[in-house]
Amino acid sequence: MKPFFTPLRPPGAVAEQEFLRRCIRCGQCVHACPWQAVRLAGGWGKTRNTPVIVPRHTPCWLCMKCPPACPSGALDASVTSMEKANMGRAIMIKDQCLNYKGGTMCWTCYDRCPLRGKAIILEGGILPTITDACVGCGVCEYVCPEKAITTVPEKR
Amino acid sequence: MPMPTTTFTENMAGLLPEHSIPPERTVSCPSAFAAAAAAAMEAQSSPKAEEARAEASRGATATTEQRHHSPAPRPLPFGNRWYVRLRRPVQCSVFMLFLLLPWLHSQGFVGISGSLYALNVFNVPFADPVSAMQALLGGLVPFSLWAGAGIVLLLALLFGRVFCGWLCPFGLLSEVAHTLRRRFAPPKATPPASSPPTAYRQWFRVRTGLCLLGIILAAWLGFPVLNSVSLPGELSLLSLQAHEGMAAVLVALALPVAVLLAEVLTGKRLWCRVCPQAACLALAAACTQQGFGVAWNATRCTCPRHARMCEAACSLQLPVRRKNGPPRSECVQCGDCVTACAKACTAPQGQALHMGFEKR
Repeated sequence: MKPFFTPLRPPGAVAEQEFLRRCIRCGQCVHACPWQAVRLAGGWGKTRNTPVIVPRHTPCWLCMKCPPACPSGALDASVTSMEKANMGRAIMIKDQCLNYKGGTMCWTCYDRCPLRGKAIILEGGILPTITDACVGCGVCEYVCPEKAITTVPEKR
Repeated sequence: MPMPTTTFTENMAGLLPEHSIPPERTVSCPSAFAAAAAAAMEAQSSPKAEEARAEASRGATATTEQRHHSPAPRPLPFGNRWYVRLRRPVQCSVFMLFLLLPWLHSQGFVGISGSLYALNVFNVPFADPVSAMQALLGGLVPFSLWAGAGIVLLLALLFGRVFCGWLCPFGLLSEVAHTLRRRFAPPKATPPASSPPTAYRQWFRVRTGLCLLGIILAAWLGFPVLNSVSLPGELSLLSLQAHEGMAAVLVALALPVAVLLAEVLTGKRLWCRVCPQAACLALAAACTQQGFGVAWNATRCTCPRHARMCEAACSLQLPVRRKNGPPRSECVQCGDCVTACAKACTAPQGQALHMGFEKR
């Protein structure tokens, strides 16, 4: 169950424990994000003022501007390609998806995926299926009209 | 005895109008005469007669030396403390900058990003050395963080703790609260101390100890503990927390407001004396006596020892009248003592305190 309790980190984040040690809570990734998708976690715990992404509010469009902005190496600055963002993984809830339920042809997630044709493929030309290429940016969760997709942070 | 019923201190604070001072005491610098008079008065009643007499003779000698040997310095356009007047605007604009940063970014101004933990100003990195040390516990950090911490330490070496006095948003709030408290609820008059205050030595130890403790805790708990109790960092991230809603702002403001309340209630600036974020800055500033700072010129000093206008003005209660000025590890370069000194004695022979690189 642990993955469900670690927040979704910006692209290029190192493993969660090391991330908490390295992140100095400066907010430069938040300023670097042109979509305001990276936000600061609240509360009083270890994760206070660390960057998180809440896909259902604003997903990450994988512009890859935050890893070079990080001064402390909590986001690996060498990660510059969308395929290596490694934030997490999207999970399809099939009994909510219109295509799986039948009757409506909705390919919104397939169309809007930043890694179009790689992370989500159409099985049999109809059923959207998430592959191992998915990096967990959360755009599909954001655009899905039925909220049939959930993004799970990378297990670290 | 020509001494009126008012004391010397009141005269010096400018509470009396100019014409109420007898003309023979305003010839060159009234303070030397007043010092002599006050000392003579004290000599009749006080047990400190010897010290006061020595003090008065010293002041008088110094004034005579000044009159005969060194000409009055040429006045600068705004006095010798013109940059001290820039301090409040600088503090306010830094706080406003951090409050407005998200909006500025949305308007396309991306030259400055980050917070007071780590800042990027037109690709010049700045970093809090304490944060950098805690990040080091997680592994080798990129060069920009090293460079940023190094730049900040170099600035502290050259300019002293200007960060605390000129840039820190909590320093601004604390000073404003302290000033208001002093104005509306002035502290009870305490008898002047016979020796300069030395409590700052404890603050240095407490601050360094807190910093070391925080770093040990950070290594143990696995996250930068000191960044969770950093008031400047928290206040500079306020605008980003505001994006999360009012509840997040209240959480972010809880610690600063609690500390401010404690400071207002006690009437002392508690946090800034022992702020662990300043431990590295204090160490760097204490490395040299030659940098920017307040210097005290004993031959110009005309206040008697018990008057201490400069030390009464210092919100951190530091000893100012020492050979190299206030202790560099504690002084935040606010210049309150310089202003008080200039107000206390407007004669050209006065103004024993000077702020700058050169030591007069």
